[in-house]
Amino acid sequence: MKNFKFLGLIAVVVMLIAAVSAFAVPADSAVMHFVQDLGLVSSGSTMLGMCVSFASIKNKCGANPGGTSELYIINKVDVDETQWPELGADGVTYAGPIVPKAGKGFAKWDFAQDTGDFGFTLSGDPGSQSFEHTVGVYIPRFNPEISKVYKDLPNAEIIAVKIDANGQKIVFGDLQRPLTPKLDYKSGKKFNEKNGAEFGLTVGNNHPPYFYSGDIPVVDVVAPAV
Amino acid sequence: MLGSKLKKYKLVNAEGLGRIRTDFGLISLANITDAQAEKLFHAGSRYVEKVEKPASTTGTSRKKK
Repeated sequence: MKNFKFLGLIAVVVMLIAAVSAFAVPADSAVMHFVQDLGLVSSGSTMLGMCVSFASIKNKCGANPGGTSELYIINKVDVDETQWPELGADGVTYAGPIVPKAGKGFAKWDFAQDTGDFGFTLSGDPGSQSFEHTVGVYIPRFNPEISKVYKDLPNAEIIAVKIDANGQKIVFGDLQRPLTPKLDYKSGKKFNEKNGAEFGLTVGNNHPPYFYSGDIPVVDVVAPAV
Repeated sequence: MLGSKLKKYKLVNAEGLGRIRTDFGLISLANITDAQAEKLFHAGSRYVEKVEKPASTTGTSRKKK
């Protein structure tokens, strides 16, 4: 009897997935929330497996500088998961702020000028493609303050907001797919060689990084001195 | 103390925070001014609330002739 109940539950879940796959279900619908709760699709993600017609891309005049100016990071455990923002009407911008738990906030990581970048690539074999997100900065120096910050990095699950040269705020990582940190410090061999660390964040996801319009609350913890 | 310069606004949910990065720059919460708080408030920030004016003490009843 228990087996029948279990099989029945599996059948219901399979039918639900089939229904969501077959039809465009609004992201804020009760069905979608239920499926998200089951962990079958990530919150704020576009529907997987949907083929759509392309929109046009128009050329735009004006300056288009490269590079990034600021990096803010927060450990996933410090984010209030109950208030994670939904996507706005455009489907690529968070409609609300990322809210830290009480007493927590983002850390601002300064880095050497013109060393910060981010990127995303569409990669994978035909039929198995997805996006790979990367964030990178060069953090000069190595001292006790910086070492204290690095000490908490192993296996951290990170969400980052990067500000590009156009002033746009862009979010990397989310509750379902947080960023994995990478760190490579080198002292240099000669007097005038670089002394610092390449810090990187990576994650695979099913969409390009989303834009962000909310505040970034910052805690004043010890940050690497640049 | 956070927001000690504020008169028309007050900080909420800001315990442990030092600064807020907004579309108009990084604001230090220790030195935040009413003008900055007003910008945050109108931008929909969850960290600023308007201070309610105290109820009028002039009374509303008319003097009896």
